[in-house]
Amino acid sequence: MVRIFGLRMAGIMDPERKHLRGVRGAAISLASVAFFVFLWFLGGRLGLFSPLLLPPPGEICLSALEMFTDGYRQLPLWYHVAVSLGRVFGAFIPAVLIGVPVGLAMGVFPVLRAILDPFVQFFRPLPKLALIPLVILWLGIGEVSKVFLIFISAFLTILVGCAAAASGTDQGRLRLGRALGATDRQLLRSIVFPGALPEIFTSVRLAVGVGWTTLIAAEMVAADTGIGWMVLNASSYMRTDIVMLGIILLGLTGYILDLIIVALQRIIVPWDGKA
Amino acid sequence: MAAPAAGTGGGRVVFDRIAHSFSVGNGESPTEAIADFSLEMEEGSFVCLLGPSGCGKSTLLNLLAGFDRPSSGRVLVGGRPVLRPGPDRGIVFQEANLLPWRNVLENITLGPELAGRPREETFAAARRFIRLTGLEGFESHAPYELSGGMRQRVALARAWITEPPILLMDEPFGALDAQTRLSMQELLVSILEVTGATVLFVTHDVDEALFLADVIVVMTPRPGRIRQTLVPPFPRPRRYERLLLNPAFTELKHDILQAIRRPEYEI
Repeated sequence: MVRIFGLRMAGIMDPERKHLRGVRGAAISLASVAFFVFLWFLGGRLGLFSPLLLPPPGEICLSALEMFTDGYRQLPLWYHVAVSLGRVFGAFIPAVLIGVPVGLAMGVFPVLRAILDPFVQFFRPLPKLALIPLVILWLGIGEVSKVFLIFISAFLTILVGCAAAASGTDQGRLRLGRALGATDRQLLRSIVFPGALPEIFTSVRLAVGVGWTTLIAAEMVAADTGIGWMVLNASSYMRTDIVMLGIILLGLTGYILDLIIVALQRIIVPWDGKA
Repeated sequence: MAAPAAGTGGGRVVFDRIAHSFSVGNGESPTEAIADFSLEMEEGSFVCLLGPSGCGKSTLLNLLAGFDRPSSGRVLVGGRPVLRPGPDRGIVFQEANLLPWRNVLENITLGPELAGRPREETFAAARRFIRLTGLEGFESHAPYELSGGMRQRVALARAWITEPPILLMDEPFGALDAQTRLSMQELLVSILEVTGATVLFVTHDVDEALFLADVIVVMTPRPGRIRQTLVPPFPRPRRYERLLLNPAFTELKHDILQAIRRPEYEI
């Protein structure tokens, strides 16, 4: 057994200790977070860092309480969260609705892929911040341009993931379908689509992450609401506590969104990852 | 459910002077997989293609399945050339190839479902083949909950549920352990007694061929041609334990092994 800092660590090498039981793993994670917060609190108490640069947890809690009751810039905190979520979902739902079928079609039909691929591969790695001036010129400074920026990030991620999923369809399964007399349409519906579902979910999960990341960029576009805007706005007034609160809210919301998708994935594609 | 297509000629298979080559990469000279292969399979007969790996036996099966067209020559089923895959030729692959999003019953009923058969009729047929393949009680299991042998039973039932006049089997028991393989071979024979079909069975296992086949076609290494065709003289029903005690079995096995391993120039 390996020792790290004198602690005996059971690893994947040990035949019987491959996985932590669910509750134990969660308990260890929780303790780890609690320990980190305690160190942070202790550091603040001992004056190891300036509260202006890194406000202690207590102060952030107080700001949070204050903002829950009074809001930020005359608007309640939940409203900012809701506005940001609204923008992300407003972009995300069309990204899934268009991205999944178009992506799958690209994977199935090489000609379509050849037509679209140059644009997809050009825009996908492009930092979406670079598009902001053009997006403002073309779509104005309203909600449309913010939603569009998030949409384009999520859409491209889904497109690429779904194209790979469909083109990677197992040849054996296609042969099986054909031998059973399936038409092309039936092959798509009964073999290609369900076979691609696990990877579709993975790309959707990635897209939520990418979309949530783009939110900050989107809320730099002349916004006056939203968590991303709150972080940017508070930073210009040196309200580091509010900046940190915003970051924590962004992180937590992203984490919860991811958990929701993983839960959906378990329900809809229970066979994923099983031999 | 349609009766086994006995006497209609739909189960008669002819390979007529087949040659087949394929190119691996661009610019490479094509590999000759099959050369001058002719074979007639009587309706309802069980033919084993036996040979070393790479001799083109799976290629021949793919040609009959319609996944591929021969470079020259014709494959005829019931007198008509094979142009594409079709439900008249059921296939069992080496891998069970079950769809993981469907349970056992749904995997078995895939063929009739694609053909738009009525549900009542499909379920009646499914119940029959679930019984024949010994899958009772596993209908709602997911494929990943099954052992290799059980998965292959599902693959058998799936290929068989529409009672195609022809069955193609590409080393279907090759990935199973010896005991499971034997019980699957016995299962296959017992179902054939009930349903009847023309079977093309690809294997490199001499025992398996001797136990199952009406006709054994021994092939040469690439390019594959027929080295020898022989008819195992064992009456049915065959018992594997009895075959082992039969001197003719040992002698045939010896001859076949020698034929397979004999170098090309001795022909």
